[in-house]
Amino acid sequence: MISQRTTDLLVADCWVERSGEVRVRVPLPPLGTGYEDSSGLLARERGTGAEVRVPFDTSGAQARALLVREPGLLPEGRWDLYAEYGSETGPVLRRLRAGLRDLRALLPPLAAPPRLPVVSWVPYRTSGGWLALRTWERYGHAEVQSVHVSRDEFAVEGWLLGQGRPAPPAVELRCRRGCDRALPTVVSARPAPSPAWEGTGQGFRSSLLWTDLAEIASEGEVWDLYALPYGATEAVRVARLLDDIPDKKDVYSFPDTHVWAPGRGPLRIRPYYTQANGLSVKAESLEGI
Amino acid sequence: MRISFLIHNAYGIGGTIRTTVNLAQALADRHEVEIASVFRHRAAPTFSIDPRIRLVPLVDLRPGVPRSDLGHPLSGVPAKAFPREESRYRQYSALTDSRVRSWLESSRADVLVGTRPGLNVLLARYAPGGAVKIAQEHLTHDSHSPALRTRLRTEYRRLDALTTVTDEDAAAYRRRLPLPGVPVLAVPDSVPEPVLRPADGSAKVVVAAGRLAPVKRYDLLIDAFEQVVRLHPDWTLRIYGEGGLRATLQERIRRLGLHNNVLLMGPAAPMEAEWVKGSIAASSSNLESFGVSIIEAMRCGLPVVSTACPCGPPEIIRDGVDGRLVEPGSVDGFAAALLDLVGNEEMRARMGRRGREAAARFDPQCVAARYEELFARLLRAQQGCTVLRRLRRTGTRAAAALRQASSHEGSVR
Repeated sequence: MISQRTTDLLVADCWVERSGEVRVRVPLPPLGTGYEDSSGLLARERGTGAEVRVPFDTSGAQARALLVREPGLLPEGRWDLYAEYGSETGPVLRRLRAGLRDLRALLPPLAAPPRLPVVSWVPYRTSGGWLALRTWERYGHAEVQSVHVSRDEFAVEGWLLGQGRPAPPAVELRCRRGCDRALPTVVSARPAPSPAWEGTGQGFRSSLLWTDLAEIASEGEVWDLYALPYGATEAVRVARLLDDIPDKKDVYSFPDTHVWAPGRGPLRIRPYYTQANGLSVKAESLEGI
Repeated sequence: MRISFLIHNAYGIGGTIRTTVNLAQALADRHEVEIASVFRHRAAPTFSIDPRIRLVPLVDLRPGVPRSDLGHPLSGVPAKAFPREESRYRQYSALTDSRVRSWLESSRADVLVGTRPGLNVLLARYAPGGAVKIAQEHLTHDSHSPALRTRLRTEYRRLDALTTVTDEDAAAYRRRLPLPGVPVLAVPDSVPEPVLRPADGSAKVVVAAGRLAPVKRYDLLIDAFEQVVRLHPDWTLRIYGEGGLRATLQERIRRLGLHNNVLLMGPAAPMEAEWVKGSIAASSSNLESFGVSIIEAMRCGLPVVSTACPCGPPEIIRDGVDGRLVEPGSVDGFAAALLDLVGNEEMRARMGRRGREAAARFDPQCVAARYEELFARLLRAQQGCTVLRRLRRTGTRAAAALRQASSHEGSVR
């Protein structure tokens, strides 16, 4: 006899280990269901509906599931987490509520030096209270460490992953919407943030004068930051992925600046993190502000 | 004992709900516990409630459920019994009056506990004579309007006890709202032991949590943190919570150039996982009726830098032992206290440890034990009274019978 207590919410706690694996403590099966060989943790990607299953480990007092962080398992995106239990009438799928999430291992400074490909998994609580996983997977990456905004200048300090380049990368702003304009920045080398990071990439400081951007930018445009490793042809996105904050857009608030765009009037320019935590700059009209 | 709590809405989020659920859960180990929730707006409570506790919703606000009270004719009629001076008066109606009253009158509880002034008034009026009637004050005396205080002065006389969450507030009640024959005592709110391993003091993160409201003085905290960043640029401050001041605080962060170091994290639940990411907790309020957040942080192993504001913090933190108490409103004072701890990892670890030990006194088991003692004492007194009354009643009846008997005898004679 199956009785689905729909008001029973299944709350799952999870831990991120220093190795990056995500351990989920699965709630006890609801009434009328149990653990079976086929039951496990199900991650379903939002948008594509792609599914990844991990079996429960039921050897302890409470079942657990282990998501081992490796490239290719959970491609970049947002994954909702479900528990699948067995019952007389077949498998019962229940979405998991977000309980405790111990993400201390994700706090900078990272214990282990970063490596390519960058695989970053951050468990989070959706606005509705469900447990989900934000994942990134990048084969080239430049990590933002700090952003500096003054009246005249915009500067970014970061770390470009990848070994063996004789000179710092080129960093440029690229206009996002269908134009091939790009604006180079002035780049200088910076030391590794910690000795452990030595040899894993290159530190850089990239800066530009706001007036240079105002020369070519128009209102409503978004300019994305890219780094081009020395001698390479493929640019990588400048973003902030290596921490415990899955959505930085509203958490980080950078100062804006007002510049005169020759012939087009005043512009308000503001750096921000995109929904995927990439670093970008937005130009807006000053009128009506 | 049969113990019943009367609460505004057990299904939502909030300090009173959390602490009532904690207490009820601890009491449920030894007693029969019930929580009556005046309102229900969702299927399941936000905080999971122990299945041993009976949850009784009185008015169901959910649309489309079989016995929904949405649009009930009485819900448009203003409340008469619920005091109009109460801040939540508009949410109450003739319907809530009648539901609460019939729940109280039919209650078979030994002890009835109200959790906010308006409900305490209903409880004082309608609870059955034999039950012990206790009013809890989760805010403070001084936070109520003069009109409400005047009202409570007469209504609260029918109670058996009034509890506040701090000694300071208990003293304020005794001084300014004397209730002859009604003991006023302080019993703190409780915070359960965290599940996660405590913070180890190594993270360069200061954590604060609370509504983004003027009383929390996050403006002061941000200004103080600027002094920290000047000397320790690798430290960050994370402020958790939501509220009307978000844009203003963001503007302040930008203006001070603190955008790499001060983060408005938005709401977080549960906070436990966020406290353990920090190694110092900050509370810059001008007023804290208690300070559940401070205790949460201490239980997670964080030393707390707090203003010595009324009422809670000075009763929770021992200055220099498990945290720092700073004069309210002082940016420099707050910055200096933060800097002491930021610059000394050993001190953070030591104070964090001491705080964790000290905050164990707020464990639901300890707090429940204090309530149990109070309940038992009042129940004994109550039963004493009942026995006396019964004796007196029996005595009167016996006398009448005697009189009747003697008159009867007389007639025989």
